[in-house]
Amino acid sequence: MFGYIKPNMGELKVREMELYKSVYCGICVTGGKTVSRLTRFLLSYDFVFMALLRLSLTGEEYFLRTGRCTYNPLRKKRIMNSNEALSYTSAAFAVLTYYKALDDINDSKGIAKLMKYLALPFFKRMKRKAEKLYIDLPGIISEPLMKLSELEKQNEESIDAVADCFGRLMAGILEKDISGAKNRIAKSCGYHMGRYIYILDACDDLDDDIESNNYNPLKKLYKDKNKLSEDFILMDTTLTDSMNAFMLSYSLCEEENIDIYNIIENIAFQGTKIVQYKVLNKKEDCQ
Amino acid sequence: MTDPYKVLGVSPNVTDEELKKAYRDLAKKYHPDAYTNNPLADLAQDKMKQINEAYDTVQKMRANGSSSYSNNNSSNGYSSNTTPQYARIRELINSSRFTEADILLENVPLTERGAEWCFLKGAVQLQKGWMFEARKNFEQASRMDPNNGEYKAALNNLNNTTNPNYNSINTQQCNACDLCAGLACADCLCNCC
Repeated sequence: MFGYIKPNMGELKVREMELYKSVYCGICVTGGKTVSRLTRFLLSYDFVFMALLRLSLTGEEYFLRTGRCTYNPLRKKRIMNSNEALSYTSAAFAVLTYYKALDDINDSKGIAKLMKYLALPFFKRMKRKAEKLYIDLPGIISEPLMKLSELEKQNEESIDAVADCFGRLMAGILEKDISGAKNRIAKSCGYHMGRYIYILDACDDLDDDIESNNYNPLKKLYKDKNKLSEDFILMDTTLTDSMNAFMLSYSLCEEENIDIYNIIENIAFQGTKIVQYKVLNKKEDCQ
Repeated sequence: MTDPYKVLGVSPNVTDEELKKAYRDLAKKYHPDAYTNNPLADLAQDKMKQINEAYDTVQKMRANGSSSYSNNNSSNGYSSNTTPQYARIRELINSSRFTEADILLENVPLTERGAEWCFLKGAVQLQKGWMFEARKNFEQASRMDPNNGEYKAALNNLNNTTNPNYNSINTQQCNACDLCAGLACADCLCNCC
């Protein structure tokens, strides 16, 4: 999807890095086997984070193996064995990608629209396979997205109201089949993660959207695009607020695996800050 | 009951000093004040209780019995110095009925919306996760009534939740450290698919 939520790799311990990479490889392999090979090319960091959260919240046991990968056969690496969290995450990713593609077609014009239209059957196949595995995923995902496009059509100006839809979407994905107090934690974590992704994406796309006259909830706040960077402080604050709220909720889930906890904390407090800084200051090449 | 040492995240052979430190860190992390206006406040309270009990048990087990850290739980209710108009709304917020509170708030005519209205609206929005507007409302409330401690506390609470250990991350410039992190990221990208 967007790939904003990633760790500050330099601050991870070696074994945490290994675990993180193994989840990445695990989703890639599992998604390729159970859902569609297409997911292997489209996979984003956000869903690695989602898989880590699922692992943490469901308390599922995981195992790592050492193996080679078809796409990079020269080097052996650690890969997480297929498990429920991984296959669920890649299925959710497949369904979301399909609906995003559908949405993109409506937004674009001309030759781009045609290209996207031609790619749609592949996405549809991917979605159908995912649907077979988890029957209620399309419902969870399409409902908030429909609400979202409705708000976009009405030119909604409250950033919270539009981000709310995407927040609820992620919350819906994350909370599925988790019960009790953990369910509430999952909902809150998912909500703030979705809200964060949506707002940061809106900031990232603002320039393009102003140029092409597409919808963007920030347009009203930032009519004059020359003074963007100073005014983005407001967005920076609200994004940081969301990640703080995320971490407050997550720290209640009593994760005993310290590696997973550290990776998630690293992402919430450090990794996202770096991405945030780069997006809001348009410094793509710094790092 | 679970192993109290496990709850505190220490091994049974730590010194009293380390134990105290572990307890203080946890108590700070899960302190009810950090979760004011948070929908998961009750879970945090449970956790806090668990930590307190574990600490008490360990203290008793160690038969030191000298210093028992007393935890001053501050009350988080919305009850202080309210005008009657908002009493009902505060009641609803306290019993977690936010939708109803929001409807009542929306029914207040525009001209009568003062500092307290902004504050309560902010509290409802914070529960929903609408951080942007919640912050705006809290700021508005403190601007309209700068002497009110309650409004200031709500705003401070938003600012203080940042984990202090990470405030010093330097994202301002591209230094050697960033370069390393960048290379690590790039390396990861190369290897991951």
